Amino acid sequence: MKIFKILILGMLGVLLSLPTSASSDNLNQIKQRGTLRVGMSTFVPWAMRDKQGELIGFEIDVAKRLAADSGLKIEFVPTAWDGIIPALLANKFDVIIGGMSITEERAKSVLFTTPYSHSGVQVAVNKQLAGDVKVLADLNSRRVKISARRGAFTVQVARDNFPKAKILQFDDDAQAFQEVLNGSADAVIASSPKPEQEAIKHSDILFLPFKERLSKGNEAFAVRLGEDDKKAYFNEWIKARTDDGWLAQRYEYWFATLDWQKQVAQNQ
Amino acid sequence: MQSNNGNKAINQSAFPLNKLDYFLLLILVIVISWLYYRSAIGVNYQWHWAAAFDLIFTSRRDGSLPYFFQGLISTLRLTGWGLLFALLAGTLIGIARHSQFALLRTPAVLYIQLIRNIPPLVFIFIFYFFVSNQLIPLLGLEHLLRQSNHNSNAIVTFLFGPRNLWENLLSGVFCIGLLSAAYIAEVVRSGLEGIDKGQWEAAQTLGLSTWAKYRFVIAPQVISNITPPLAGQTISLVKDSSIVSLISIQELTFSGTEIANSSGFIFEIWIFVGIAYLILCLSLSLLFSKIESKSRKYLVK
Repeated sequence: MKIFKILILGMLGVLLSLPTSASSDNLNQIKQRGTLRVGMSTFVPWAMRDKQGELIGFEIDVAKRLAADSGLKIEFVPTAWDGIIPALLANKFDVIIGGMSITEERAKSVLFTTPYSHSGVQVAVNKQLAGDVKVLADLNSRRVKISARRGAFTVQVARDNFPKAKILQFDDDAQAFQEVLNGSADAVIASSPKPEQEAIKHSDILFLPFKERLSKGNEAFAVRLGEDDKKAYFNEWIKARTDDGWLAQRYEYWFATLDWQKQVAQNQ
Repeated sequence: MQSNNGNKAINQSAFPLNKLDYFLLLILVIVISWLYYRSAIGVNYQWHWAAAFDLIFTSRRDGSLPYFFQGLISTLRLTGWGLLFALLAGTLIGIARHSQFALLRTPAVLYIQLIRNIPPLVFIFIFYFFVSNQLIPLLGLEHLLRQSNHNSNAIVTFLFGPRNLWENLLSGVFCIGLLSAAYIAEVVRSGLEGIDKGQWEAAQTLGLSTWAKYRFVIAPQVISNITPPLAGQTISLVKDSSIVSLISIQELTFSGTEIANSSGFIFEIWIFVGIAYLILCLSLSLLFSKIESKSRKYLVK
């Protein structure tokens, strides 16, 4: 009987200690599989489909380089943005590389790496409906309607800066912009450089009232809570690519120039 | 007496249109022209039909089918397997619902009431994020669906799609299958209840086994009765399959969204997606009307 009790306690002890030895398992699992599964969402120009239906964009370049540097194959799991964090937690993929801004709320559910890009948030306003907007306070009124992408960081920025305005949320940026072009909303708030690009494209309808970007966001990779080994590995990689300037160069190509638009069938 | 002569002339034509008809037609023409005029100037959208059409038909870089059509085939697989699952499950649940044993009837009733009274989208979110994640490892399918790297042969790929999307497909099939099974169960139950009690008793009197009773007496009559509502339910299943795009199943609506957002041809691509669903559902309608006429052949109606 005594031996039996000792045996049971021994097994219990072993079982309890097992989870702690899994701290480097996450990365090993990926290496064993040989493929890095990346969750992303269509978000021009972070990730989008070119004319042939292949994925291109800043995030795609980053993910492909990360996989190549790690000696892994890459598999993209296109996911709807609203459900991307639940999908990560449900183990549908290993990491979110999708221009996800670091926010306190998100940090409660996922573990963020160090930032690898910094983008801003900008507002484009309909000339006809609100052409006299000059300062931030002009948009902070109950009669103003601002459209944004659901689940994006921009919604929080809009709420912080324009608490009295009404925020209309849409599943995609494209729909949010169409709402302002149609005149059903006064302004649209979105991540740069989309507002700047749309204001150039539709210069007869849209304009940018504020020269300075509203908020400087930090984007990072997101992994599940507790996966510190992956976070450390990705941080190392991000540091290396920031130091050799590769990240800055890719950001420049996708965000500051419009050379890539020939690859995508934009309605020019 | 004199005033009737004018009216008589109009009423003698093949299409007796009176003043009210002409007035309504005029209003209809005015409304349609006004809508067309407003859409041209009010919507602020540049139409690029030719470019969008080209985009739909551009092949992938490795020469395979265009992304739009890959989404369409994915929808076909999803609805095909979903329909099979829903018909089987729905028929069984419908028979259970109709049964005399409370042991069979109560779970069936609970299930049907649960599904029918929750919006499909809410059900799909709950089912996918909570149940599906527990169910798939529990059924031991995790290794088969997620981890294996072996290549599969052509027939399996044709029936189920690429290996890395199998889990996707299974979740989608479960979701829309379970949704539609509840409605199909009700249709089957109403079909069963529509059979005359005399038919059941006659089958019993002839000493037919349960299988023979269902196969030769009950089923032909039930099938001819339930084919119209079943057709409606099937078409509803095809349309509901677009909801699963919100849980990132790579079907037609999801592919359409990605293409529309990437290219900027929002309305054109969405109209093409709508046309694809329209063609799919019309074909199903035609199929079902053929089945309906065939099932009525031997019955006295």
